Amino acid sequence: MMKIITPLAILLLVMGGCDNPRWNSGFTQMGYKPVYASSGDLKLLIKSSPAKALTETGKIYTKGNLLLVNQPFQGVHVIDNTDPANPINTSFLEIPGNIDVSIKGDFMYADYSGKIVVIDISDISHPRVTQNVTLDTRFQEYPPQADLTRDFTWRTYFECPDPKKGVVVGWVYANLNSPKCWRENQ
Amino acid sequence: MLEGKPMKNVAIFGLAIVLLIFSCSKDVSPSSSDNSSTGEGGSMAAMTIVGNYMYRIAGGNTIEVYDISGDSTAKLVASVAAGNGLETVFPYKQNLRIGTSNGMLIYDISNGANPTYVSTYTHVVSCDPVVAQGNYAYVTLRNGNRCTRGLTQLEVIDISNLGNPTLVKTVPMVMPHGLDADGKNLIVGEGTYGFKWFDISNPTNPTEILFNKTVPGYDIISRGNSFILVGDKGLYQYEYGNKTLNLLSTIPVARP
Repeated sequence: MMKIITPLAILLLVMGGCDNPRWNSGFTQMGYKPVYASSGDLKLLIKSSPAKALTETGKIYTKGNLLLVNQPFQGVHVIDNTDPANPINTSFLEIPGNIDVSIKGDFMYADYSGKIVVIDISDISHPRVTQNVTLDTRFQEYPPQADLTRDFTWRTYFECPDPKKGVVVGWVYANLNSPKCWRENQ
Repeated sequence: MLEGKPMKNVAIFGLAIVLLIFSCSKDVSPSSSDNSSTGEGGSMAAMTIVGNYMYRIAGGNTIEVYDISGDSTAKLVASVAAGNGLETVFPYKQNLRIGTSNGMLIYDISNGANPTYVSTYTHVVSCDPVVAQGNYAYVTLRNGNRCTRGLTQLEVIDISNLGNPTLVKTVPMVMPHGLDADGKNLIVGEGTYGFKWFDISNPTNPTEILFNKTVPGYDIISRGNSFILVGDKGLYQYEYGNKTLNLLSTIPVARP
């Protein structure tokens, strides 16, 4: 009898040991997901898109009746705040990798992957890049250091970039399914 | 002398032309009102424009200076190593106030291209945006993240002597993030916990008027009789009332 029970017990133990949900596929974790594009040319990527809903909010910036709300690593929501009682979400200015913007006159200075891109916004629905930057290769490998938009964590999970899907032009914060990549923060 | 009346007519005609021009300029999309002015960021901003220069916190340890006199270009003209833990930059008169993980740095920018170190206000390690008004700077210190040794409070710092900033008041907080001081009003975002409104008629003694626990506050821009607040639930605009805030509008966050 013991001859049967012992192997059975061992088998059960081993099976139990394997049943660690964290390392089975199916565990979810908030982290960064790459945004792919067919081109890495920022000039083509910076553009005005139809207004979209605020899904994640970053820093805010105002000038005159213009109000900008950053969507971390994606760009800014363009809001007509002529009447603060009735702000109108007019469009979305896509600036991959962006966290901070500032404006002087008709020009916007926006950070992008650690560099500064300059955009003529005299007509914000037709933004025109006047100073381009090249993609930082590190940006292709892992998301930028998390900024003040969310509380610090020692480890940032992200979906491993897949070069076959295109050039990484941005990162979005999302619920990830069993992410296999992470970076340690300091 | 003798041309009194015609001169008056010319003046009226000129005024009419000016009025006509202004009444004809209609904004079709949201735009800034004049061509050389700069906008305004919140206290969480890591870049700011003063005159022909844009200052940016880079890599947590450098103040980058960009010459933007050409408008359509931003030319990096200086990179100033300023220690570790730099997070936010706020311009005030001829100075930059830099919020760092252990206090506040003051840099003089009377020579715009060459920020020069003035002083450091150091406290314990925390995370802290900073704003300034008059002789006082308001700094929020936040615990609960990498700033594990930090305190969670609002500090009022006397900066009348820029070379020697001194702490004059401490107000306990829950999870302070961005803030903005404007006249007698001080709004402090409490992250996911909401936001607080303080009366700073006496600038050294912020008195809490209310603590809104339902609207998370992350970054704030106050402008005269109203303010804009952004947080996890969306973009909120309020008008200051007598001890109460009048909600003007909301653009909610839509969770995907």
